[in-house]
Amino acid sequence: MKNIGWTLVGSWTLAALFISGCEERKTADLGGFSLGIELDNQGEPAFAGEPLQVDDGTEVRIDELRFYLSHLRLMKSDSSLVPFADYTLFNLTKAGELRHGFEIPDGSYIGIVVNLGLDSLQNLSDPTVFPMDDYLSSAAGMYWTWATQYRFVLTEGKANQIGLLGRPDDVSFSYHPGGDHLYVKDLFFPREFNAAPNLNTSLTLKIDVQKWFYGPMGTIDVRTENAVHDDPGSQELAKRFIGNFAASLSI
Amino acid sequence: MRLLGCAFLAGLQSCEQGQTRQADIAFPEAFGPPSIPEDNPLTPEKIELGRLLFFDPILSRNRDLSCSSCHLPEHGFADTLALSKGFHSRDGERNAPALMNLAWHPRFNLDGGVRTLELQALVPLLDSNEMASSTPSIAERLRADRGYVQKFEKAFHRLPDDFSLVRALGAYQRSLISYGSANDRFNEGDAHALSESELRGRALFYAPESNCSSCHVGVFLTDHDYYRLLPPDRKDAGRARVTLHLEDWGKFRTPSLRNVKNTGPYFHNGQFQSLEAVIDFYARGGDPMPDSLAIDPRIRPMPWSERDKSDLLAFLQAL
Repeated sequence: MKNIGWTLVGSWTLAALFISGCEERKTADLGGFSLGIELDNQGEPAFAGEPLQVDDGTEVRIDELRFYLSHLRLMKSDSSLVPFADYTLFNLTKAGELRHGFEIPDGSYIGIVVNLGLDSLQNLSDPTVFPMDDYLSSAAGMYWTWATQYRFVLTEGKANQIGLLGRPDDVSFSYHPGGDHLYVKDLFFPREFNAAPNLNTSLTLKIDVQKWFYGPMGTIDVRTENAVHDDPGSQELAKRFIGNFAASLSI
Repeated sequence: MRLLGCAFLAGLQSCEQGQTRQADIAFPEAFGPPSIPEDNPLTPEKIELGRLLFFDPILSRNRDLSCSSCHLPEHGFADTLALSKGFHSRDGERNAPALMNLAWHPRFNLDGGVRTLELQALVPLLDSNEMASSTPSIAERLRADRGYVQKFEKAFHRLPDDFSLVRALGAYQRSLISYGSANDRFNEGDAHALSESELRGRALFYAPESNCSSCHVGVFLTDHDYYRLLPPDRKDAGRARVTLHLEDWGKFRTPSLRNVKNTGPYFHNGQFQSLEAVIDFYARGGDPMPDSLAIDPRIRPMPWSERDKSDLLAFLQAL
């Protein structure tokens, strides 16, 4: 993963020693600090269910996109980290899960740090012990029952390399990478902001779909490399996809 | 062969109001203590609720399949089809296994990918080729049924949800016990429990050169380990799906042979319809495999006569 050039910010285990006391609020009335997601295609907004074109002319439609972020932390100017959520799930096709609000301590921050996926303990969870509105519950639709662990990213859609969806040669893609070996730690997204009473701060993670297929971990040919599940045959592709997906995120 | 199932051998312990009763199931001594999770002690209320749920199609998306659609009590809670028919009559991925003596199983699913019996219940419930349901929709249906709500509150002191659902199903399945076969009686000292043919078959089964008992070992007649016996299927990685090691491709868990006469078809894909076909498979030393993945080395041609095969069959039917 060194080749990718993400900014690594030390061990999150050290960061976990910080006392958080911050909780995610899953209500529409966010206020305070919120983090959302938005599809993006090389700087232009893109939307679930609508076609978009990537560099090589391939037309792509994202029908489903859900992914976990864990150990979400705020970075201060002295590089210290303030945890604000253990995990959260973003869902591009569910209005209530496009943006989440969090309670964070007042202060000045220079960015956020997150891990993509779930840590090994979270991944080992029994999904039935959580309330059904918890993102680790079986109701979230991310639990891989046969492997008793979670998918980290779930995305499905269609692509056509001729550049026009709706043809018989459309290709369905289904990328469901998961597993401890695919956990991506310490993604740093620089953005200076202040948190204070009566001050609302909204950050948005942009997801550049172009990078899924032409990312730093290598090209993914959607005609032939269109399914990633947790089996040994698709592990190389799983690593490429999760690396490219991580690189597709920016603020 | 006796299926003890929910016919508890002893009565239920008395209880005081407000306390949960402990189910007093007479587990066979030969099996040793069962593995019962701390968060799901066996109680009669849970077992009865689990039994109701097991046979109720309310759990499937189209309300047309229950657990018992593919796990038939009269067939050792296995299916008579090689691959069971699930949602919209889609074929299942693997042969439905027998559900017996699960309280002593260390892992679940034929690839061992599932850690607990409770979590195993989620597999068919949520699989799009099986019951194709979701836990919120099941909980909603069950909460709309006053009878179920009362039973969940009695068993778990909570409304139906995924926690109580899978624990009720787990409790019921732990109560399904296969013990008391002719071979069990023989092992307990009844020298007349097995016929002459069954005894000859038993000797062949346990003969070191046969290798049957190197995997089908112990009181459960399984080592709970994983082996490759059939040419691998590109669609089903088997144990490799869990370990992600290519050398585990096509390996599946050794099944228990208890009650085996009732649980065919056999092997992970149900390709053998009869025990006779299984014995023939082992007698010929298995089937050709691709060079890259070898069959387990213990599978090799056996010089079994027709009488030997008949004796082996008789013994298997006595398990």
